[in-house]
Amino acid sequence: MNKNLIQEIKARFNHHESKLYLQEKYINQLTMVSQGGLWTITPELLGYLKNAEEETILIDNYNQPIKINSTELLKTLETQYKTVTESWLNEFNSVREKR
Amino acid sequence: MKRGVILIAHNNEKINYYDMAIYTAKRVNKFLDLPVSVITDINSTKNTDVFDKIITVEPNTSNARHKAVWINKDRCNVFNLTPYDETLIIDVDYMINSKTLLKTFQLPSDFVCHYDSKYFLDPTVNEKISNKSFSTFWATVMRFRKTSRTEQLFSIMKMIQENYKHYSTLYEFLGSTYRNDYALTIALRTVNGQLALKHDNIPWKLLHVHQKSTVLRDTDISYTIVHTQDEKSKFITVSDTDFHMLNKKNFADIML
Repeated sequence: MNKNLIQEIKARFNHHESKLYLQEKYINQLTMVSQGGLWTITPELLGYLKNAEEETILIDNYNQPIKINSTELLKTLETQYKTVTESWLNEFNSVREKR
Repeated sequence: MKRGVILIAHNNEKINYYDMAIYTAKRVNKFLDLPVSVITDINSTKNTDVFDKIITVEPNTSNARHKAVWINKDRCNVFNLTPYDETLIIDVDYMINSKTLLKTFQLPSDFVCHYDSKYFLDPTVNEKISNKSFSTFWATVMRFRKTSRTEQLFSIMKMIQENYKHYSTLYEFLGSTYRNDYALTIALRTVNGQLALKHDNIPWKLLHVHQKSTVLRDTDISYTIVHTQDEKSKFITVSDTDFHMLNKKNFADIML
């Protein structure tokens, strides 16, 4: 029914807006609370954690210093990062194929 | 700590907010698995077992919008009315479509609401309370714990509501209709010493669907949003994503 309606009003699928929407959706999912801090998971953060001492202090998204266990935080963030980026890629590819 | 959701629903001559609340409560149960209570009035309520508690109050009918009474002055009383220790207040036109809001309970601040927002398919930027003033915080979604700071916040919102004309002149509000967003913006800045503290912000954007856009339901978690401007229509499909619908009639269409 929706397809018919969209054809009727000659609406065009908007790739650019869809990609922006996916960015909002998945950046949100890459932001998470763990060990008392709020973190946006980036490759830089993961890279830092891989080389950090077991107990270290990080500045979180609220600009607050948080004492963390780097091994545990890395494990949590890396798992989330993999799950989210895989979903993002799948949805991104299906958006690219849409007409 | 008992967690729960509060919805506020007072019908007017144009919109059945109570039906919208029932629909939203079912979605809260499905996606967030939290008890939902509704603040309403005796003329709006009807039999349903979807709510944890039905809290009836005397409706304040002193506000109007779109040529209809707009009963939206209960929000500042939620601190005293909520049966929960941790409360999530959600507008009934907020389409819950994911577990995202559960993350607000993990945030350290005793109060969080949206500051950043975006309209789907429309370049409208974040609203300001006046042409010369600051951006609004959004009362659409608020999560709070009962603390002395949040008690103060809600009492300041009430003070602004009761003296709205004064604050409207002082801050040069855009429009005379009472807006919870504006009262919240001033109240939150007041309790924070006129600072906009980042830790009170929900750390993702509130996504609005513009009044002129149309939402079509594809499945229970997937929606097509169509926006028409200058006789050209464009659409995107969204899934597993919450959004705030400004067009109440369109929300009612989706519920069917």
